[in-house]
Amino acid sequence: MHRKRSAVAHTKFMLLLFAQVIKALAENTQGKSRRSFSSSFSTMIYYPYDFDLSSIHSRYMSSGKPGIEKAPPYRDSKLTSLLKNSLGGNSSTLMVACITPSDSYVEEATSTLRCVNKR
Amino acid sequence: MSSEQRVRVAVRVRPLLANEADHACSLVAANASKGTVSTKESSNDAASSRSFQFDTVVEPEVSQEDFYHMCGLRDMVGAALQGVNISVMAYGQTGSGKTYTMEGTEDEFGIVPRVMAETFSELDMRQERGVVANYEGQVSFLQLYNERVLDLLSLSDGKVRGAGVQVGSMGGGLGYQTGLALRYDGAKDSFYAEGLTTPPVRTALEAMHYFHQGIAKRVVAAHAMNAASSRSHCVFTLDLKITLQGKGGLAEQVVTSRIALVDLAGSERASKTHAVGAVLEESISINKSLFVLRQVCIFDRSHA
Repeated sequence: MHRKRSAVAHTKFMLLLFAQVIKALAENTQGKSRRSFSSSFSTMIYYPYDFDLSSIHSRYMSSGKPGIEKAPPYRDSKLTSLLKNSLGGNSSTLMVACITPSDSYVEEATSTLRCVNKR
Repeated sequence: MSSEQRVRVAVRVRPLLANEADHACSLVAANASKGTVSTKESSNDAASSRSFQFDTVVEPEVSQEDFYHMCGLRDMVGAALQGVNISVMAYGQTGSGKTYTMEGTEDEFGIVPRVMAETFSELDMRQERGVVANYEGQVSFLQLYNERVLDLLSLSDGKVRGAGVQVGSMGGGLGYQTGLALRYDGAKDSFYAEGLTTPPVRTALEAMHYFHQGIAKRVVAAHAMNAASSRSHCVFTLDLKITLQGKGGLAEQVVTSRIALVDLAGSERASKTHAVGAVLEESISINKSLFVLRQVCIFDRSHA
């Protein structure tokens, strides 16, 4: 008997909670779609820096190429993180690829050249 | 700058060393005037021939000074004084001449001393002409080893200042106990290594003094770590804060820029060196950072 009453109370509580959640969601989605809410949230988490300041981004946006709809992956390594402002934004970079002319190292030379090749 | 290109690629072919005099050199052909380098797998296999196009191709006999000018480094320094962040990165397998290109030798200065000399002499000249009112510079020199940031200018021998990430088994051999933590600076929209030593410099000589101090420290680490120099990225930076004289009653203007000179780790593949364990771990982290670097640069270039 006692147990049954507490089960009812529990159900009431759960319904109340559910209603609160629905209300909160409705408030959040007002004005903008939920999708944009969640996508702006993930942008905030993964890319806390402001893309719009970077000319790379604006250039990228106008390129319209599919498949690479991301900012340069600076954060994927410490080297590129540290060099972020030297590689993006108002910057100029010279990559010097060094190779050995000897036939014994032709594979390494080809691999180096392929890596820095313009495409 | 020759164009609006933000990432330019130069290829430098090094001369053969004395002990390689008997090596054949028929498979790699550089053509400086066309800016191409072609390679083939064997001399009678025309089908495997590949040709690559670059902004600048530098042949083995070119001197350090000519190399500097051919790569347009003078213009890059000029841009840096106008507030552009410039960077030079040397890429290639171990023993291909990266360090010779960046540091050079006592008689044949590489890019680092030349860029420092050019920057400060240009600044002094502009100050004399009254274009520049004042300038401040500060340097930093760090080494990235297995994704750990090590301060090459830190005075303490063992521990790096600013306790950061605890390192694993490799830490002891290198003589460092900790790496610096990477922090994000929202105001500057950039990352920095927390606690990195950044001494102020007024002259090229001072900058080079710190550079050599860092190199000496790196050599010590290399001794303990079996050629760590080629297994890590070394990043030398000069941050400039230039106050331009106000023209025609205008207020003074402050320009900031960074010059980053990077000697990348050897690009050889892990599979080729038959690496296991710690050495393999090194290769993976090197290849990862080189991969990301390439992604970043290609991204930039494909939208230039």
